Amino acid sequence: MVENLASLAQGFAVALTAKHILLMIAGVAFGLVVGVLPGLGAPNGVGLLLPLTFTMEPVSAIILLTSMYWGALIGGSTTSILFNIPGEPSSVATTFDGYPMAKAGEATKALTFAFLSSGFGALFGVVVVSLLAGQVARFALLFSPVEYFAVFVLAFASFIAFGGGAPLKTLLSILVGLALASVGMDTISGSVRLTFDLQDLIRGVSFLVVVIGLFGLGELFQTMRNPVAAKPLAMRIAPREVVAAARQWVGYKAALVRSALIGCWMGIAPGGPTAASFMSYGIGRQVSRNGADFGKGEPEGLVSAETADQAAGSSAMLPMLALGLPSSATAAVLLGGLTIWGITPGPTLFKERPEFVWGLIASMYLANVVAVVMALATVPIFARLMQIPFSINGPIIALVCVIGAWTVAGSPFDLWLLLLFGVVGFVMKELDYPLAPLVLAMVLGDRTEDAFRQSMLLSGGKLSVFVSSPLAGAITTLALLCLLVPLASALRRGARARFA
Amino acid sequence: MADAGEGRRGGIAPRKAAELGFAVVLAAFGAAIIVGAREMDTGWSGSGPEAGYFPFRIGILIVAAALAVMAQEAFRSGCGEALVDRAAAVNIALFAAPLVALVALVPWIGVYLAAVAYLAFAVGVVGRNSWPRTLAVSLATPGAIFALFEFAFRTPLPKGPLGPLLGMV
Repeated sequence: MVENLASLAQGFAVALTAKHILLMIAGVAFGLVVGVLPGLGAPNGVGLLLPLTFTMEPVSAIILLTSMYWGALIGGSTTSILFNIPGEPSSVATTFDGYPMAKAGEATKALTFAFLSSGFGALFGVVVVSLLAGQVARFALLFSPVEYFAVFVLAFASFIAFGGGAPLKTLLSILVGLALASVGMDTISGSVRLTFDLQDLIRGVSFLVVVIGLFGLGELFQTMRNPVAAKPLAMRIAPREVVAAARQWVGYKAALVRSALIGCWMGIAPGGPTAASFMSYGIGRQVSRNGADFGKGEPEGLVSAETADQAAGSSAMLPMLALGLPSSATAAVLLGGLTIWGITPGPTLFKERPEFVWGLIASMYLANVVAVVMALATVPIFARLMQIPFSINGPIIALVCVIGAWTVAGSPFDLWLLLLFGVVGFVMKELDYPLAPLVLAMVLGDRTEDAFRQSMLLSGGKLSVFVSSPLAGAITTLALLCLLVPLASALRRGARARFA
Repeated sequence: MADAGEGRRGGIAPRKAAELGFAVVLAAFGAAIIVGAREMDTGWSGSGPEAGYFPFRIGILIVAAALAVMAQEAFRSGCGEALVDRAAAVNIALFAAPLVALVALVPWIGVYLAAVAYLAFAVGVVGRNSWPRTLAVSLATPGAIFALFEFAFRTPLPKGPLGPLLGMV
């Protein structure tokens, strides 16, 4: 604990420079825009900005990109409340009570509640990260390829169990991601594979292009079906109302702590912010005295969803740094960024690059405070972006996506891939195939395969190696249990149908 | 949700057909991965599992999972609500067509000229905005992108014939 605090102090020395504070402000501002506009969610926004950070110092780059993530998480809730349009998948649960509150004339209160809850959740998450980082990293040092493969499988399995999508479709999403990751150079033997004699496939399929296509163009196609400019509720934030709302907000201590704990749990054990906000909302409805009013404009519902959303977002940085295991699509994109900047995530990162790890953690404290303040100050401006007719917004965002895909490698082939994945993203969303597992699998693909092949090498090809050590056995068992969750619920449904 | 009824009436691509169709696409993708992996060694060598070992198995799993989705859909009664109604299909096509042209043009005439043409067409012709507005958007946006990428981000974008004109590469 004490060593963590000392490291954190050093982190603040890195984060508290004028340059980094400016980067935080820029990142949050960009994130707020990205969170508000359709077609520019957090994963896509980070993906678009990532190629521009290749030349930056890694710690500056990660501060810029994570700040953007915090901004986008908060920005996403703005449109949920004012327009009933979630800017991010993780703010869907925010619409349930946020929009009814705004419709009842309590927009300022709803926004204040959402921002403060986000801020609380985020800070709670960062405190957890600060306290546990050293321990988790030390624990991760015990991992051999066998344990790593088991952990990757656990990550995929928990998406199937808790991701909320149909299990088969989640599985397909993961498998397609793994297949796409294996295109190009084989990291172990160095041979080129699955290129089908296409020169452009030798360097592989860039996950950034896939992210921009799936999340960016895919969402634009969806929005284009019925492009009407959103009609916002009359909106002006009066400082006095904010203060009054903040006073009431403090009364929701129990809900805040409960939701933050759920969020942290889902952030660290992969599930991600979307699953966290839904789970927290569901549990809140069960246990709260106000549970019956959830969905009718009950502030506690809003608090439950928002707090868990942001707590999961920030605590997801822990497994990402310590194990190289992202628990959300955005974290996966960030992880891909680490590799490009030449940083290998994992336990040794804490020893070799303490200024990077702790600079990031310290920046999370500051950037989230910046995000809450900026969100409160700028909401009327950003809300106005939504009123620009989509016939103007849409083409501009599409153009930004094309340029973003170009900056990845300057290849015309990537632009066609972008279009292809735009269509695929649209179809997947329409048919309820979850997108996040695909991105996660693409980013983890090489390391999953390496871990698997190294484990096979260690064991001489026996799959039993994954249950041979207590640690690997425990993780594998956990993963298998996760896979039983959808099966069990299917059986329960079947049984209920039979007795009904 | 108000247009759900309309979607059924003038709809194309009923849900069941779309589900089956996409599962077929996924199965084909899986098959392609299997074929691609078979070109490599899918077994073992002295140095452990070969390059094709992992993709080969992933390909098989994709085909199996896609077949399972197909089976699930085949046993579902009814064909479900249409995914896209006619008006939506037209909207999407009108949005996608200029985008395809943009992607085709960028390698030839550079990002900036292509962007001006794309925005003028997408905002003015397809979006039916007034000409002054169209002009403003289609000149100001590439202008802002130029300033940002060439100077602020120092990430030069392809300029096509505009490059020599400006004395930039």
